[in-house]
Formats: sequence, C-alpha cells, structure tokens
Amino acid sequence: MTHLARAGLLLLLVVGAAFSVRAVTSQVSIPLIGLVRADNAVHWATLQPRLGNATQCSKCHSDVDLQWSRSAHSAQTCEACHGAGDRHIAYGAIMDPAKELCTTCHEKIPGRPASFAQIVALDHFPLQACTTCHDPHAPAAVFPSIPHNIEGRQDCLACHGVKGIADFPPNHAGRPVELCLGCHRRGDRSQQ
Amino acid sequence: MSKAVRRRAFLKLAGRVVIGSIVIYGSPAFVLSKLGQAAEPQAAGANAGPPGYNPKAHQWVFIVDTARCIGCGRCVRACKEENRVPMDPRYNRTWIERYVQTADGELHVDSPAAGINGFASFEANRKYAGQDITKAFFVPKLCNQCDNPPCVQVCPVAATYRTDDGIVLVNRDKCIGCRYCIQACPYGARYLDPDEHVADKCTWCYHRISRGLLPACVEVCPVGARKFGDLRDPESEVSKIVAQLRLYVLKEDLGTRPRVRYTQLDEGVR
Repeated sequence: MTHLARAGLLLLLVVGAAFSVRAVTSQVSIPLIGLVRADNAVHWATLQPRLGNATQCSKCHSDVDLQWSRSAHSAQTCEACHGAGDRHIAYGAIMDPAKELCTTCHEKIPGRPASFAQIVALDHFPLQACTTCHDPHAPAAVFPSIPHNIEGRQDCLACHGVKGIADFPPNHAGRPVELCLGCHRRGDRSQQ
Repeated sequence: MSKAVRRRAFLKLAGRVVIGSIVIYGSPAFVLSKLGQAAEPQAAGANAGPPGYNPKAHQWVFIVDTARCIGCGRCVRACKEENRVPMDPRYNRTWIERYVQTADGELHVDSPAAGINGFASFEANRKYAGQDITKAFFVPKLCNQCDNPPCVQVCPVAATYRTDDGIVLVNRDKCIGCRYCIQACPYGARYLDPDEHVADKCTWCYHRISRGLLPACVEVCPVGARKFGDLRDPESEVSKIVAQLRLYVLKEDLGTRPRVRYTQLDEGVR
C-alpha cells in the first residue's frame, strides 16, 4: 500500500511542479523562452517607424516645400516617391533619387478611375522626358518662355507644331526638323 | 507497538512530502521569476516607445476605397520598407489586385509582382489591348484583423493572438513555423518569413498607430484610397464613413468578421 501511496504522491508532485512552471512562464517574459502575450504586443508597438512625415522633410527642404505644398502633388508625401527617410534624417544618408516614374501613376491603363489624370505615353510627346514640361514637385505643365535656348532640345517638332501648345505659322507646316536651325540659331536673335 | 512504528513511518513520509513539495514547487518558480526579473529592464526600456498607449481605448478600422485606387503600388513598397518585409514579391503584408471585366463576360485578375511596381508596364496590359473592357478596378488587400480570426484558432502553440485594440499579432518567439495559420487564413494575408522561419503578417503598422501615426501604406497613398482611424473617436473620418457609407467586407459568409471595410466592392472580388 505504501509504495502505491508513494508513487501517487510523486505523480502529484510532478504534476504540481509542471503547473507551477507553467503558471510562471505564462506570466513572466523570459528571453530564453519568449515574451508573454502582453509584452509581445508592447514589443510590436515599440518597433521604430521608418517613414516619417512631410513636416520633417520641409524643415530643411523649404524650397521644394514651397512648390510642392501648392501643387496638385501636395496630396502625397515626400516618401511616397523618395522612399523611407529614416536613415537620411538620422545620419544624413543620401536619399535615392525618386524611384517612381510618372507613368506608374499617370499612364492610362485599365482599372484607373476616369477622373484621375492620365496620359497615353505613346501619344503624349513620346520623345520628351516628362520633366521637360512638368516638375514633379509642381506638376502643372510649364512651357519654356519664348525665346528660349535650344540646348538639350534637339527635336523642335516635339513641341512646336503641336496643336494648342506651340503653334507655328502656317507656312512652316511640313518642314523637317533639320531646317529649323537654319534660321533659328543659338544666340542669334535677329532670325527669331 | 506496531501502531507507533506506523505513526513514525507516517510522520517521516509527511515530512518528506512537505520538504519535497517546497523544493519542487518552489524552486522552478523562484528561478524562473528571477530570470523574468533579469529580462525586465529590457522590457521596461522598450516600453518607453509609445508612452501611455492604451489598447483598450481604441477600436481601429481600415477602409479601402476601391473607386479611388490607381494601382501605383506605393503602398506595397512603403509597407516593405517600413516593416522590413523581403522585397521578393512572394512575401507581402499588403498587395494590390486588379479586376478587369471584359465584354465577353470574363473576369481577369492580375497582380504583377504583388503590384509593387504598379500596373503601368507594357507586359501587364498587353493582354487587354484591343479588348472591350466593361469595368476594371483595383483592390488593395491586407490583413483584415478579423474579430473572429481563423489563424488564431488554429495556432497549435498560441503564438498568434488578438490584442485589446483588435490587432492580430504573431509572437515570433513562440511561433514554430508550422504554417497552419497560413493555410487557415481565407484571405492569404500571411506568409512564412524566409529568414526567421516564423509566420508574419500585416500589423496595421502597430508601432505607428500606437504612436498616433498612420500605417505606412495609408501615409503614402496618393489618392486617399486607404483610410485608417479609430471608431471610438466619433469625429474621425473613418467614423463618419462607417456611419454614412455602405461598406462591404471580403468573404462575409465565412463569419470571420473582417475589420477592413471596402467601398464599392464587386461580386467577383474574394
């Protein structure tokens, strides 16, 4: 009888010890075993954010902020195009140039709401960079003043002759681009 | 005489039981609580992050306006940057799907690289060239933070749980990487972290919302297709939207009670 009682007591002790260990481990975070639920939620809450907000950017980049905040792009944050700014703010790491192409948002594709500004890139001055007319920080189209210099603008017909942007006199119609510079020369205002 | 011996034997045994139980019950608890105390300063330091955040005081809600989404993919990239999700398009906490209904009645769904580079590439749109499209729209997806989450029910080690403010989180220390939750989620919102081999999922940027910031995807959305806020604040934008607009949830019939609400959801969207 005593050996049965002893075995029973031993079993009771082992079970009790197991429960006691469990009671502690479910209430106290032990690095070796892991965090308990309450501490784990705190752990998630205390991760450091990487994306800041636009007010931090404009502290230094006030010139861009002036343009951007009054433009149609003011609805989006700097980091939407330029990526997370945490390292730039913390220790001056160089930001990547804006990774996004204009067409990522503005190309006309199935699925985009009709009210959103869209272009068909193949029809919308395909040979020009978007930035010829549009500043990403103030995207409303701005055309160069006339006269303007011709450096970096090899294809006159990319703009001139397009209806509504830069009409030229009717007698210029059909002339190839090679002829333009024959009269319209750099630094020679008399021919303009 | 024999009676006295039995008494002595009894007292001996009783003494052993008392001392033994003190040793066995007491010592592991003592050692473990000492270990716990050793871990405490670390936890206290971490606690300094979002001061005074009370999960019980918030009821977060996420609203996706599918009529506004332009499929630019900035949310996907911002999420990966913010939460250090692998850039590999197989691992996503949030992603964008495009639904295109053509005149022949076919419903096409695509999500090139989970939408991280947008949908504007030639390859993504080639199949729709010349097609008669009757309707097309984007549907951003993320964890629904269900009120009745299947992923929490199935976890064999109770590593995933709901917080008081309704966010479903994964205890990465406890997760054994069995993938059961990934199978259980009807929205495909979970993935296995390839580096640490534990389940990972959207937390609605728990570290941001507990500081009063917006989730990264909401922060960068250029068209306001993603909205986030607290239903406990009657003045918040989301409270007004919930009060005034008709909102839909994904796979309502499953009874998971998702907390991401969609406006203008269509029949084909799952």
